[in-house]
Amino acid sequence: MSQKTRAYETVYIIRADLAEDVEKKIQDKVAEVVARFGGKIESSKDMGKRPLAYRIAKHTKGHYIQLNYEGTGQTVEELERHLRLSEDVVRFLTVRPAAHPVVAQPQPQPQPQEVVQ
Amino acid sequence: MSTNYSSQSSGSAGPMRRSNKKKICRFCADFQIFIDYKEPKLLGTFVTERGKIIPRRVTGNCAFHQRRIQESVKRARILALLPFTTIYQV
Repeated sequence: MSQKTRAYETVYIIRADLAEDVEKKIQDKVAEVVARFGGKIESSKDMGKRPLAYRIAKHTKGHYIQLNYEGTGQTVEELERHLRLSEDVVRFLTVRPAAHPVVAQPQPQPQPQEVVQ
Repeated sequence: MSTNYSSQSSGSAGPMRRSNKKKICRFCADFQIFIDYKEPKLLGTFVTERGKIIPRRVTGNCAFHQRRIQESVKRARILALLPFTTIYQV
């Protein structure tokens, strides 16, 4: 069974009221889960603490963390399972990142404009 | 069936005048802008005060970029960067 390796991007929100060393521990744990299931982390970005647009489980603020990695479907499955079980994680979303914009944009043809009467 | 041709005209009874001016899609004009679900500031301009996605007939987006906007707004809602609605049950 061959499993394809793809690029994924997961953004997860952890509680905003945690101590720094606890946050660090959560992030290390996430990195460990990714590594354990054949993933390779490309970058991890702290998007900062932001107010939530609506309350999630009584939280009004969240600490957003973005994680870009390569892995298989199983990597994503296990990572999401881990995030779901973790009580400090408020919400998460995994997507396949879009191709880089500047290259991917179609160039619109300027068409002679007709005035419809 | 009652048509709503005049629904946007300012109270007058006649058919709505449509301007001939063609709106251009912001993202086609400047393709450096990347539509990203992690940017609520940009996406917020394509959403009404109540959080609904503004149709492209109003914003002038092309179909291609409207689809990107739509996808991004929906993702941003999941991450609580944008609201699903602003009416909350009290």
